[in-house]
Amino acid sequence: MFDRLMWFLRTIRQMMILPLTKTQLRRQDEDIARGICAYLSRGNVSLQQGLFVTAEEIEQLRHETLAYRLTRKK
Amino acid sequence: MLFASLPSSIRAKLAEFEREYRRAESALKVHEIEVLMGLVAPALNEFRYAGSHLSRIFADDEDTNNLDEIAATQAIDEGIRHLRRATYDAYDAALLFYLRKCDAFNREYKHTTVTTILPSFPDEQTQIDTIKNELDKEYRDKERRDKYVESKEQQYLRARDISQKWERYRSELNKERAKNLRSTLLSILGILITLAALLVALIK
Repeated sequence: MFDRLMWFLRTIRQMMILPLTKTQLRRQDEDIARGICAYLSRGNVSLQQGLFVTAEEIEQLRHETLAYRLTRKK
Repeated sequence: MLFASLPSSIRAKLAEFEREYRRAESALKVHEIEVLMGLVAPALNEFRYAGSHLSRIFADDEDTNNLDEIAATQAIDEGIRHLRRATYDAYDAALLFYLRKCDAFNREYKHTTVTTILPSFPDEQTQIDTIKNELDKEYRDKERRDKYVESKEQQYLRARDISQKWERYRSELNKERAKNLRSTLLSILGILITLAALLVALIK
């Protein structure tokens, strides 16, 4: 059912010729990378599940974490 | 080349390399198992660089009696530096995870009086912000972050303990919040009943 729905939405998108946004493209690339990693990895459970954190993701975490303060700045 | 035939200075350096390797590996495991975010790719890359430096010493040394001691020591030092950086990266990613958990907790209970249940909450909030201030300084030093590896482990332990403590109080805080909500609703209901009674009295 879900697959059918996704196929339908993809077809609609293709019919309307809507280009993917930059974020969607990045997510698509990340999903492909994780899929390949999960397929090819041996011996490490995390990698077999496609779980890994890249330098860009950590940088993003750093920015977001430092931007939020729990107490007021003096 | 046999290990015993190596100069003592290089053997000492290799022993240090081994120690740093164990530390970096355990830091990586901490992140992978405890934080459940998967492997940290930058830390793995640092492992690769460390291995590359180590392999170069023995690859260049065809004549076993002519090991360039200075070059070998430098290469092992470079390897150790990369291992320290791997430890730093692994603990840093785990630390960021716990800091973000603390942020989420703080956002969730923004309008709840947490101090009635958790009196140390303001102090711990300050501690978290102090860690963030330290991080701010560290992140500016993009080249030599391996210098901060000792403090990184301490920061990680502090943030983890605070986050885990807060998580333990979550159910109690939820009960407190529900109690407050009940009393607020009862007060509103009381006001409405009073107003209705007044209205009825006025009409009569």
